[in-house]
Amino acid sequence: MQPLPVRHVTADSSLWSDIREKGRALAASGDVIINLIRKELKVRYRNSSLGFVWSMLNPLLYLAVFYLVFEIFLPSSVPHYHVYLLSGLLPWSFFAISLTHATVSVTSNHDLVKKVDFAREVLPVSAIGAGLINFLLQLCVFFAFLLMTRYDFVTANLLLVPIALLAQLSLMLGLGFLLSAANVKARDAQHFLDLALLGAFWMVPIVYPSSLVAAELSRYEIGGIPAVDIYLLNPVTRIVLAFQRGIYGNPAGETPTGVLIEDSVSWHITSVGYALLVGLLLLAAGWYAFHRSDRYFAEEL
Amino acid sequence: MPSSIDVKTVSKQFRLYHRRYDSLKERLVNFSRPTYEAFWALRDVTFDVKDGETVALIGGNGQGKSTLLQIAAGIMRPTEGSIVTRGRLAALLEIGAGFHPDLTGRENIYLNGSLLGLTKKELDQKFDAIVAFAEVEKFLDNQVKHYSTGMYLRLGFAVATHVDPRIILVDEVLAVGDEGFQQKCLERMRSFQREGRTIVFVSHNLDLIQQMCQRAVLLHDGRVVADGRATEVIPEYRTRLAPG
Repeated sequence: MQPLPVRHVTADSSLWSDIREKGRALAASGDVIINLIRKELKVRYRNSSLGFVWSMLNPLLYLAVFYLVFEIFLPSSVPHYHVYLLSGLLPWSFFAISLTHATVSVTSNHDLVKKVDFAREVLPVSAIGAGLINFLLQLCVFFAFLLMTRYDFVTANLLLVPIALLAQLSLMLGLGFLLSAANVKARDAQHFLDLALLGAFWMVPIVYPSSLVAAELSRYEIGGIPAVDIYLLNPVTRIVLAFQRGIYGNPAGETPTGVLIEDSVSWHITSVGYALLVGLLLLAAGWYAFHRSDRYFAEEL
Repeated sequence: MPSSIDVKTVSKQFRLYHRRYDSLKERLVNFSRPTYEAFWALRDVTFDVKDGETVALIGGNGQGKSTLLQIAAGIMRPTEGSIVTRGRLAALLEIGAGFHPDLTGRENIYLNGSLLGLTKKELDQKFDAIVAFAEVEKFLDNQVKHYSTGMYLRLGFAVATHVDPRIILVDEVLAVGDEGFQQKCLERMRSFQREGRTIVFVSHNLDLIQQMCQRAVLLHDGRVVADGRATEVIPEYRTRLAPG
C-alpha cells in the first residue's frame, strides 16, 4: 500500500520545506495550467464565429495601415517601417497586455482562492501562458506576411528570437509574481502598472529608431555615466532590440545611417543575455515574494 | 492507527482594521499605519478525527467553523498551532467554486477537476460517473451559465466528490439545493461512510447531524466547548441557543 500523503498546516515553516512542497504542488499543476490557459483563450473568443482569427487580424491590420502610411503616403527614413514597427510592437503588446492580466489574476479569482486549495502560482503563470499562445500566433501571421511579401531576411538573425523570448518570459513571470501578490495588498499595483506601461512604451524604441536615441543621447552624461547606457538599463529595451535585430534585421546597415543602435549580432546576444539575467533574478525574487504572501491571500481578499 | 486529522492548539487571529487603507495614497496621507483590532476566530482548538469517523462541527454563525475548515484544507494558515491531515483531502467549501459560466459542462469538469488535484487520466476515467451523478448528459456541451441551479449544484458536487478522497470536508453546502439534491448528496456521503472515509461536516441542520454523525464538536467564540457523542452535544448547543 502506498503511504498516505501527510500534510502539516502550520503557522510558519522553513523555507526549505516550503520549497519542496511548492515544487511538488507545481509539478502536479501542469494540467491546471493547461486548463486555465485553455479557459482564457476559449472564454475570450466564445460566442464569436471567427474566434482566433480576430487576434490574427490585429497584426495584419497594423501591417496594412503602416505599410500604406509609411511606405506610400509619407515615406519614412526607416526602410520597411511597417516591418520595423511590428517586430518591436508585437513583443511589447504581449508584455504589456499579459502582464496586466497577470497582475489582476489573483484578485479577480478571489472566490477560487478562498474556497479551493491549489498552487496559487498557476494564476499569473496561466495568464502569461495564454498571452504567449496569442503572441506565437501573431508571430506566425507576421512571418507569413513577410514571406508572402518576399521580405529580404538577409540581414535578419532569427536565432535571436528564441533567446529574446526566453528573456522576456522570465522577466514577465518575475514581474507577474511580484505585481499579482502586491495587488492583493493594495490595488494600487494594477493602476501603477497601467501608468508605468504607458510611460515605458515611449522609453523603449518601438515606433522610433534606436539609432536616433544613440545619436541624441551621446552628448549627455548623468553622473559620469553616458546617458545611452542608462537608456539601455531597461531590460525590456534590450529584449525589443533583440527582436528587431532578429526579425527586421538591419537593412540600412551600420549606425549612424542605420536604424538600430547596434548592428553586431554578438552585441545583441550579450545584450539580451543581460536581460535574461535580470529576468531570472526578478523571477527568483518575484516567486519568493509571491510565496511569502500567498499564505495570506485567502484572508486578505 | 494514527488519526486522520490532528488539530493541535490551533488559534487564528484576524485583523479587523478600523479603517482599511486599501491604497498607498491613503496610507501616505494618513501617515501612520492603520490601527486594527485583533480578533481571534479560533482559540486553542484541539481535537482529532479518527480514520473513518464522521464528525460534525456545530456552532452559531461566526464561531469559527468555516475558518477551521479553511485551515484544515490548506487554504489558510493558523496563527498558532498546527493541523496534520493524513490522506488525500477534498474540501467542499462552496459548490461550483471555480466553475466558469462561459465554459461548457465538459470543459468545467476538466478545469475544476484539475484544480481539485485530479490528473487528466483520472478525470477521463471518472468522467462518465461524474456526468451520471450530475444528470447532465444532454447538456455536456452547453455553457454552464445556461444550466438550471439544480444541474449546476449537482455538477459541482459530483466533481468535488469524485476526487476519491480519504478525508472530506463539507461546509454547509447541502443547504443550498432542493430536497432531491440533498437526498442525493446524503446518499453519496453515506456511501463514503460505508467505505470508511473520514468526514468533517459543518451544518446547521441538527436533525441531519444526528442521523449522519456519531460525534459532534461544538465551537463557541472560537473555542471547543463540547466534544463528544452527537446525541449529547446537540442538546448542549440547543440550550446555548435558547434565549436567556
